Amino acid sequence: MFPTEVFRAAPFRLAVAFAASIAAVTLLLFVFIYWQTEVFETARIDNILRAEVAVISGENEAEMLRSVSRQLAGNLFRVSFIGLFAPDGQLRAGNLKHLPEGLPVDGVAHRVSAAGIEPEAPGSAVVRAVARRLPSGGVLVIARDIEVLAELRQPVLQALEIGLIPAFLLSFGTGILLSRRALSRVKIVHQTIERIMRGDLHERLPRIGTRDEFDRLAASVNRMLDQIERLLLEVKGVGDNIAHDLRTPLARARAKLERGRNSAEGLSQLRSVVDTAVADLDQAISISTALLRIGEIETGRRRSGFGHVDLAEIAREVADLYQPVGEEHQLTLTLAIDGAHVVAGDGELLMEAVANLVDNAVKFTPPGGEVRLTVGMQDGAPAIRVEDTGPGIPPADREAVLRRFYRAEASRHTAGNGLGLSIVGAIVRLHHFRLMLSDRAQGSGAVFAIVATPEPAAEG
Amino acid sequence: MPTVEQDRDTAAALARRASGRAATILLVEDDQSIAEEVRDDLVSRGYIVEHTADGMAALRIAEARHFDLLILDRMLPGLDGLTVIERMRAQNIRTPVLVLSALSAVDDRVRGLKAGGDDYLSKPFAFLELAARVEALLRRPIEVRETVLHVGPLEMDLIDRTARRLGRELDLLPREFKLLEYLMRRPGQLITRDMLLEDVWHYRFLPQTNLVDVHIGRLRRKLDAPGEAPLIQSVRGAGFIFRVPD
Repeated sequence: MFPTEVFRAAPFRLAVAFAASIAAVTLLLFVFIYWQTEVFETARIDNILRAEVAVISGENEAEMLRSVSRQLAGNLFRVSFIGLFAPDGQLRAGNLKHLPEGLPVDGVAHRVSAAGIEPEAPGSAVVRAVARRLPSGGVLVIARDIEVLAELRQPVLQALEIGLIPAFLLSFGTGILLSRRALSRVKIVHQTIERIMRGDLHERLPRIGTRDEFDRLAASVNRMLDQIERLLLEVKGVGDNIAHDLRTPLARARAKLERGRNSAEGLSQLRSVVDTAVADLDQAISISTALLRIGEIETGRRRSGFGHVDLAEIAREVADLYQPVGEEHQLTLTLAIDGAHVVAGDGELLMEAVANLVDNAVKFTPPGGEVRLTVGMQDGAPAIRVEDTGPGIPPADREAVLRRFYRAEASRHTAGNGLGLSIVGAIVRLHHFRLMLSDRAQGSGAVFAIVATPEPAAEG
Repeated sequence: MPTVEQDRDTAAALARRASGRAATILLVEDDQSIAEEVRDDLVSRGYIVEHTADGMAALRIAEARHFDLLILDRMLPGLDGLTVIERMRAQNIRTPVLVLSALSAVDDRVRGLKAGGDDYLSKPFAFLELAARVEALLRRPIEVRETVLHVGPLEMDLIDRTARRLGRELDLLPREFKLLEYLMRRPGQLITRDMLLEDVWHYRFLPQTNLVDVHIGRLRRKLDAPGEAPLIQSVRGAGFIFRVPD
């Protein structure tokens, strides 16, 4: 794993950002503490200076001189300055050479550059100074070096180093560690996906069992892969069936044409061979047409054509269309409607579905039988039922009947491409309706029911 | 408002019909083998056929000369079929167009007709089906100004929705009436089952049962009283012709 990969990883970036913000906050805190301390210390020094000046300036001449020399005696580190000046500005006692420049004589502490007091002091050094006029007309000045405050900075910075640098290093290290861990899992996912893309559809993303976000993501990706694999297998099954069902009429046509070329005698015999071969090709074409139709319905684009459709109206129209066909097949086609049943759907498609069911029923019901078209409620939802008195469909075959391309073995002799029910299935799925298949209550016969989704009772 | 072009086209159609001149067809199809078969079939039916495989070329030819009909594949090199129609229509060339396509899906069909095509036939097709569509497009259905349609012994009142054969009232259901009207407007023309399903029933699927034949059979029994000449003839493997007895 390249270090750059680690540095680019999200956990690492997060850790660095985290460390940086901790550093910033800590720094701010320290600056604030330092500033507050300085303010506090300055105020304390100012108070002392003011008090001292007030006390000394209240004394008489002799006491004053004693106080000044006492001050000077205790001032081993030259941090305090005192000066007693005569009214003409002459220094009478103290360690100040002259009155500090720019210092107002008002008994209040001021910030004064040390250069004005001590020529050898560094240029940046400052002192706090108080000057007060004496009753004699002279001036008393007391000042204190506040360089000592700068020394506060040292321990503060040290504390900062001790606190911050390990914290930063710790975040950095944690970042690298987390990144490497995440990257190694991502790498495994990458490799697995590579394998899946190369066609190994059984592969699944590994799960560690920590139930963290990686595991949950892996779980949902795996569920998606399961679904894709299932669909692909289904498509493959359908593809095999398509190939088989298309090959059957093509094989017949081919055989007829070949035999016709070799053994037909005379033009009329050849023509009849060609005619039957063309019929086989037409069968293959009708299969492909029906498949395209199913594909078109299943893409679901046609939901745009949805509106309010009365199932009773559809049943009436289909019955009207198939009445003569039923008579031709010596069947009774009956219609039982108990009022309007409006559902949301595509009228043309629903008509196509019901017509397919009736077409199918008419085809499979032997002469003398009955095809019954019913519109009413079933399981609390509007439904259209198509019943016939044909051979019925064995329970074992029902599931398969609705699948593409399936045709119960018993009906192989009946003409048709066997895709009618698949089209019905596609239309029903598009509507999110249900297609149910059962036996007739008495006698043999199949019952197909298209059950709509129950609609909430209309207002008013 | 009829445009000048439209008048010219109608006039050309009238002149052609009057003179008995063969109709000219521009066939635009890029599959060489299908194009040859279609051309030979149409020529054998007495049409004059010109063929090109390219969409751009088709547009240039259609702009330069008058044709009675265009047969146009949807997927063409150069310029696709629907664009050819749109550009032609934009220039007021009103030649009827029969769109051919390997895409049989209903939505594609709708798109083809919306673009300005007059009919749509999906590949593969039977030559008889193609011939019937071509004939139907060349001979536009009979339009009458009055509300009564007279064809041979039949008389149809389009307002009252009643029909008579030589004064004998025919008891027709609404759908049968529509079917008869469709046939009467196209006398002597081959009408295929697909045409009836599409145009009369607006049906978009092919029934496995002999739905169309059954309905035609019913209509036939109502039209022809015993001893009367049959008006609807079946053409084996193709469809029906409404023929007026001489």
